[in-house]
Amino acid sequence: MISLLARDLRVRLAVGYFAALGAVALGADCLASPLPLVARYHAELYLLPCVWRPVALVAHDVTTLRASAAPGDWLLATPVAFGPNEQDKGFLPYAQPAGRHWLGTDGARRDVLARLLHGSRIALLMGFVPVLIYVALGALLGLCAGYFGGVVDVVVSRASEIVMTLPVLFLLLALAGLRGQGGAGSIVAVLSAALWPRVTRLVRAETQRVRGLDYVRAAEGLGLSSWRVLTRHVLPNASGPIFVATAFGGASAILIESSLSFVGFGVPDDVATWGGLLHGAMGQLGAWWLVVFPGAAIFATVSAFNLLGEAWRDVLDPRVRGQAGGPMSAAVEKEASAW
Amino acid sequence: MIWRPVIVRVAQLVPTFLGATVLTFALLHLAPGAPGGADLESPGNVGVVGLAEWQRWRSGGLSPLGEYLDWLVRLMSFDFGRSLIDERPVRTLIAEAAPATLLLTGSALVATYGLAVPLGVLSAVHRGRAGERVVSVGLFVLYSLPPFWVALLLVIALAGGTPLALLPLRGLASPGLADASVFVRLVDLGWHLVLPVACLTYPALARASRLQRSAMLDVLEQDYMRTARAKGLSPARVVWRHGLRNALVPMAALWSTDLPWLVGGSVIIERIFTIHGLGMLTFEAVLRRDYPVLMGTTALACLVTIAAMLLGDLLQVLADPRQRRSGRSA
Repeated sequence: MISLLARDLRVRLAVGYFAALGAVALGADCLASPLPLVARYHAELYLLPCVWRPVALVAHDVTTLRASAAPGDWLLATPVAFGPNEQDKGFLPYAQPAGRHWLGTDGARRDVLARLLHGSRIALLMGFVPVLIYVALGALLGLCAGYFGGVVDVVVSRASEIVMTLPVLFLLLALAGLRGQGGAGSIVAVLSAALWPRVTRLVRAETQRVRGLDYVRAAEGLGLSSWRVLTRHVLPNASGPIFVATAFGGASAILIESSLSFVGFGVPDDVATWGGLLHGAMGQLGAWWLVVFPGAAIFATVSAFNLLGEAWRDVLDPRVRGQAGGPMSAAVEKEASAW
Repeated sequence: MIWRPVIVRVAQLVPTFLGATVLTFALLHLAPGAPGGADLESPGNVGVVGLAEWQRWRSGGLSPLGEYLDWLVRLMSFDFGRSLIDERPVRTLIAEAAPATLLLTGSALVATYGLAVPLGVLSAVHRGRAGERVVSVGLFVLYSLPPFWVALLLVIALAGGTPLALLPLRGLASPGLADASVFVRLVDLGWHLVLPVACLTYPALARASRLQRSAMLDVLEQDYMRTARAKGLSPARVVWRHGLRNALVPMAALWSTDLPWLVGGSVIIERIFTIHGLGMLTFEAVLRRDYPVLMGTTALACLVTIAAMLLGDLLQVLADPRQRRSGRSA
């Protein structure tokens, strides 16, 4: 299965994209920062001040460092010489892409490229963390409901129905708006709490199908514990939809988070997000650079997750290998993309 | 006994409804802050009626359980109380906002299936051909494009002052047309609907047409299709008459999952195109902490979702006995 996946062009594209995005997210401070990569300032050598932010330099930026340099001082600036929250007083708000600001500035005179680069952190966080939490939770509940049946099934099914009844975006809007700016953690929590039923329903159906098969009965007959039967015998054979739902779930989590930031109910404004940049464009629609670039970043990331999901689905569903669309895909898609 | 599973299902949905409303009720009651953004004791910019409503909502002399039961009883007559800011009944506000949203999402739903069904059938019939591949790649791209981004790009591209400024970008009616004839107003409405409906339609297209495609692929392998061809019917007649009828059965399940979307699916698009529908109502209720309105729209969404679940299961029961025997491998 892994080798089939690794040969798929779509998987390679997606993995390559995520590797690049991960590198940008990790190295965002070395790509866009008011402080330089290396500097010699007043006869002292600083390595990576952009990351460590030494006390002697923290009040400075590249311009003031150059202006106050002693003879023999030098510095190597980061590719983008602005931080995500740095307000460029010498520049207009909503400045066109030109000169110092390659992708322009936003309404608070902050550099758009710096905010884009730093925004990759929230994008990756939202694409992976809530999805992993809700897939794990949903898969566990779905396994138990499908395998044990009876009261467990009734309780899990009703609980998942209750959560599915609440409209996700309404819920997020209400919570974000009423609680005030809650930070990234609360969005992760709400996404996880609201989306697990999608996975539970899929896994429950798969488990019910698998549990009647001979090899599961044989494992039970050998006297293995329920936990062992579940994790070693049922789970691996019911795992297909879990993987596919994970990939598509990443796409919908990013879309939900960025629409939330877009309407102004996302993480606080001092945390750079792509959706937040789009929000900044709402007041000034002439500022096309605040729409085009962050939107393209969201589009690319959502596409990467969707490519991964499509490839995974094709590989796991032998009936349609090489042909998109099949019975499993229909079920998965119904759950995974209904945001 | 076809009714037995239906009765069981209705009985199951009662605790679901109670659970969902209790949860919403608790969430809103735990939320801090008073309407208008002020503190609990002295809510800002709220009138006399709103203040009374707020006090009733906040404590009302009842225990939380009593309050919930009171709300539930009033819900039976669709009485959601009054808006704290607007001071009009929530029911009236919802009734005013619903037509715009239903018009928007309803047109989008019709457009989605109107396009997706033929697209799905054609791509099943022509599977593997170059044209089909191009269409499926195109649908994939559309599916991955964030709708709010596309909407914003369209607004920018078509904004006033550019030569492309052909379509209206705000609201559902042009100002100053109140006295115009019905025909003119209808044309004006259709003109205003083009952009928002397009933005609501395209993301759903891929999902629906792919499901239609796989349903059609299943049908194409069936014996009765071979029989129909062997009888000498024209290929078009075989596909569209004999094939499509059977391939629409699995689509019915998808339609029912789309029903809640009719009410809650257009929050962002309504916001971008300044359309005063249910999404905008909810959005503004959040901004102003107008709890009764928020509770009303959420309860409405819950009710519609539950009705859709029931409808979906009903369709399943009606369609299943025959489908189970036809040996679908899933």
